[in-house]
Amino acid sequence: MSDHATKSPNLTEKNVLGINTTVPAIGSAVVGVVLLLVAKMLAGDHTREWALGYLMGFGFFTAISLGAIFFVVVQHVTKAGWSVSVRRVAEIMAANIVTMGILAIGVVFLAGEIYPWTHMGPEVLKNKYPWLSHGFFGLRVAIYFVVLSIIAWYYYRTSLKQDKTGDRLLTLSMQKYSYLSIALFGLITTYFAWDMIMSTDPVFYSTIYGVYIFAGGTLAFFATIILILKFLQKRGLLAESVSNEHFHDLGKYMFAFVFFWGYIAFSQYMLIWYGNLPEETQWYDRRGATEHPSAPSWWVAWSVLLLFIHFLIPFPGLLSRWSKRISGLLVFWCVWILVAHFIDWYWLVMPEIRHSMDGGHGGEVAETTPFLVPLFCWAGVGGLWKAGLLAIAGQNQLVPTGDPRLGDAVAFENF
Amino acid sequence: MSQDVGHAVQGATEESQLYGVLAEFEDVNSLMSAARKVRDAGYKNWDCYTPFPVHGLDKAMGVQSTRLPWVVLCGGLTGCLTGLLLVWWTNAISPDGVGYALRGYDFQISGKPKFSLPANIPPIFELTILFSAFGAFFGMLAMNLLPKFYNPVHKCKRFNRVTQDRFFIGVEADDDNFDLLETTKLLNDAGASAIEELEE
Repeated sequence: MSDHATKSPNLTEKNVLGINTTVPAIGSAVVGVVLLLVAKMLAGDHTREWALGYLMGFGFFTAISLGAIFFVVVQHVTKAGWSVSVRRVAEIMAANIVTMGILAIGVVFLAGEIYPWTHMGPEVLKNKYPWLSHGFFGLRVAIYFVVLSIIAWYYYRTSLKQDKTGDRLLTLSMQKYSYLSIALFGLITTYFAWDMIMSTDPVFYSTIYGVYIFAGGTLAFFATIILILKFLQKRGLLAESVSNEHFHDLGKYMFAFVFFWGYIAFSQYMLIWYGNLPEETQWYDRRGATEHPSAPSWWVAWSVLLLFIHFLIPFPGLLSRWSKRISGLLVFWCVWILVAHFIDWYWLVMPEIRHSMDGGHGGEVAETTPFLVPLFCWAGVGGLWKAGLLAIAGQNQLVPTGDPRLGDAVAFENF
Repeated sequence: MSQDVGHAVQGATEESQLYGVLAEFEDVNSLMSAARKVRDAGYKNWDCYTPFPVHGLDKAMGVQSTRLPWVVLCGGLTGCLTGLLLVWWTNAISPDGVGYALRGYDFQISGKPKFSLPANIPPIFELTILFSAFGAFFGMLAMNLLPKFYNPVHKCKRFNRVTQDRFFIGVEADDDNFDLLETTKLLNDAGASAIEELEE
């Protein structure tokens, strides 16, 4: 209602975690490291299995943090009012890109096991040779994560400062930098996807690949933030500022990104299918997504599973207004989406285990694709991601109470 | 009871004339509370007129949520099937016995299968979108009984201010609960600043 808009909210809810987060953060980190070590033991001599599993887990959670940065920045680009009460949790998830930056060092060190181009000469890599060199790769990865961290922490810290001062000018300066931030975010996401994920097959190229990673990551971010908010509310936090209207809108975002992911995934597939160039189609062939694949039949099944779990089933599932407004249903679809995100990342990274490390001239090629090793790697990285989240959240408020638009957000209703 | 009977007799002469009553309100809050009262009195054929969208008015009026999404869904599914049929008929088959002008193009194009979904999804997708949009647009018009070239409320001079700074509730005479005296009294008690009877 229009007469709500100017009212500053008088919230009495609990909005800090209220526990010492250091202990659970350290615990979570220790569990994460132990799980990564268990995965390493399971992999045994096959270090490449473990390294690719690590990359998969790293990509899974980095994509979610990228989605969080996108969400936070877009709220400032659009001067959104409805989202203010959920923005702090997104800011914390975005600031967690720092954890992923630390884990990226691991990927740079494991590059010799992950990326075949580390063993290839200019005769195979051709024009890509100067770009795909280990030192330059490490430098680029460092730039990506430093710039992303600066963006994420700028928004988190400025917003925290506003909690204390209530200074409305901070909203304006956050808005001022949002346009540059969103441009940098777009560039970095694309280059990050090419360098760290797509180059696991150095011959393959797809310009839309970065958008694909972004679409899946942002989708998983919405699923994650809904689950986190539901969890916080169950613990008695954010009872007043976050209402079913916000869950409805986050659910709408999730629905939109289900379709966006499908649109992008199909665009990439259709053009490569139509162009029929061997250096591109072999990437899909390795995933069983062709008519006569050389991949094992269970990869064919996995590709079909991806199509159904990631797109065809959740699309009609999230179509109805009620699937976003009934709490249990929404939680069900969020968990579903995260399972789909896992299927997607396994599909993106793990088939490369059958890619020979020196450009098809022999070398070690694994016969089977491991499942347990990447699963443990994923859980391990997840433990570290959660540790980062807890450490960053600390005793800070989980609602930006100093934001001038908080009143709009609390009064917000869907029609 | 006797009052009702008397009214019915009186109404017989006016029936073709009276369209309903139109009540003017000076602000959103009085409109909202009046809308709740009209809703609670059980009226069905009535409407609110405002210069701008008023949040929460749907609830105050007791308006049921729209069934338009179902029309859009049907439109979308129709578009999907139409698209599928179109690409199948024009690309995949060329049956004998069908007139030359109606036959499809049974050509081999860049070594692709004659009927394969990757190439055909774009037109199917576009037709799904197009028919959904048709469903939403024409469905909305039909459900709102639009286009409507005449509405008796425009006879009221006061009603000109509905695009500026006044809010109105119009209750139609063909509502089952409508009774000129009682309806006028209800609107008056609800805080109307003026009430007019409208003729057909």
